[in-house]
Amino acid sequence: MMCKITNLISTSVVIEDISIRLQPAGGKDSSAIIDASVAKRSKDLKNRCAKWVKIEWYDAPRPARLPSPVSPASSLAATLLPMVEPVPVPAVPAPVSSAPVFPSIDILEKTVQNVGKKQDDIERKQDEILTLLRSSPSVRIGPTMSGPVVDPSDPMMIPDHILPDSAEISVKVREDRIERHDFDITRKALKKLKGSNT
Amino acid sequence: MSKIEKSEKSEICDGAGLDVGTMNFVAARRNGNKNIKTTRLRNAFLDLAPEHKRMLRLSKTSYVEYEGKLLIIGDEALSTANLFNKEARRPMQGGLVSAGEIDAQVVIAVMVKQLLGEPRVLNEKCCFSVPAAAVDTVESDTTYHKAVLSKILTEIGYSADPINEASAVVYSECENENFSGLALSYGSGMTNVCLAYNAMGALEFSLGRCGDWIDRGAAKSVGTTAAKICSLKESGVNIISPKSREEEAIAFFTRALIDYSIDNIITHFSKVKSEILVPKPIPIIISGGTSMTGGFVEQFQDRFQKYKDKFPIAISEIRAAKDPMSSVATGLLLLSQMDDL
Repeated sequence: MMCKITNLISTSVVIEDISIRLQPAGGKDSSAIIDASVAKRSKDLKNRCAKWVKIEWYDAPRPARLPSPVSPASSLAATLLPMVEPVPVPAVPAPVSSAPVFPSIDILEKTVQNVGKKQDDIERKQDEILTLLRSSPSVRIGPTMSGPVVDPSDPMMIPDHILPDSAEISVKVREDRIERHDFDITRKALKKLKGSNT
Repeated sequence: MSKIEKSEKSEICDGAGLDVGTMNFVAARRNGNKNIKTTRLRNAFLDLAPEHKRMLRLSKTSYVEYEGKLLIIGDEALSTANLFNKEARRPMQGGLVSAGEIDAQVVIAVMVKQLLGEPRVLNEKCCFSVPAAAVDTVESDTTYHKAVLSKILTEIGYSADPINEASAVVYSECENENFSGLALSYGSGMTNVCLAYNAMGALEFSLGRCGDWIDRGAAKSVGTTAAKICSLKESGVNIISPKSREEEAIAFFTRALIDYSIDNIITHFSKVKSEILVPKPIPIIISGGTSMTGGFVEQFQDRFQKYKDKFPIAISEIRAAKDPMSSVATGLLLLSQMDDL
């Protein structure tokens, strides 16, 4: 069984645990076809990315059936069925004598252990983030409209350190200067008013 | 990175304002008694193969290289995307940090650091803009957005303080009305609305339609791309007197956006009418990059006449912000310099 994943949003989507990047919707490489078993085991696809992609499942096409050979001596066949020549069956290729391409069991086991450790780290950090977000006070300015309820089971990845440690940066910003003669007066008036509001 | 000019010997106040917009980041800092220095970066980036670095250096294009990736940042990302027949990537979507864009956090962090520079003092306060919850968009939640921006600013060395975007416009523009006004910030990803009276926010919400919505709608109706419509808008269009099919489409969708925003103010204010009393007429302040399209404010004033009778608040005037692009950042800078916030 196969699965087609299509990006629905205008930025690229990365499904990290199965290493798939989908380009922005409507463009080239905005969808991918993968094996259904790979899609089913992806937590990222199920949780974080579910709202940005469309998933379609379908059976892999079955090989076409060859028609049964018909005896030319059959009079019935002559009247009802067209003459069909048997399709030649290709010869079975000789077995490859080179060493198998599968990695050794040791390497596979180590890889599985490493992935397991990384998943544990990710889950631990997600818990820390959720605890931090729940405990931080919200900012309110007067009565506000109620917003949507946060789903704490939706993991949002924020690493410990965002700014790259070693990066070559060459970025120019556009500068402008504004003259605000009233800036200090405005600041003092706002401070006075906010003080009297409390 | 830009440096503060040492020749200016006037007093320099601490504090910074950072407008985190879908299309542009704008930072504001005091630089002398009367001057405010604003810095701006286009919120877009493009990944290229590392072998193009030499070309970027020769052409003095803004870039960042890390972990084997080469990313062009800013205005040049859009122009280079056209050159390579690619689409520029955007770290934000609909006014919020895009959780699905894997390089978004790093790009935003680099941009913020370039715009603000190092803090002048330890834990210098930086007020950054946050949109209100969208009333017309499912799953519009600002928790992740606030967490990412706060983390980035803290890493750089600032003390981060999230502030509602449209309320910053009221603080920046309504000193003569005792900080009472109805501010509409027409950005790229969202339209933010704030009704404040005597510096107290009474009603805050946002709408998922804005500049990007105009670009997509106009592009679809005339059979072109949103990027081309955006470029046309920014090159100088007057929606009062459009001169081509594309400009007519932009004018049509801009009028639709204005009607939509006024309609929503009427609808949502009526829900909280019993809790809010606005005893005196207040101004409507229009700001944001999308409002800089030629004829926008005149069109708003014209369309408002149709809704005037059922508008729930008495309006004294409708005017544009002094500087629509930096109004939010200036308001945030004001707040960052208040000791007791």
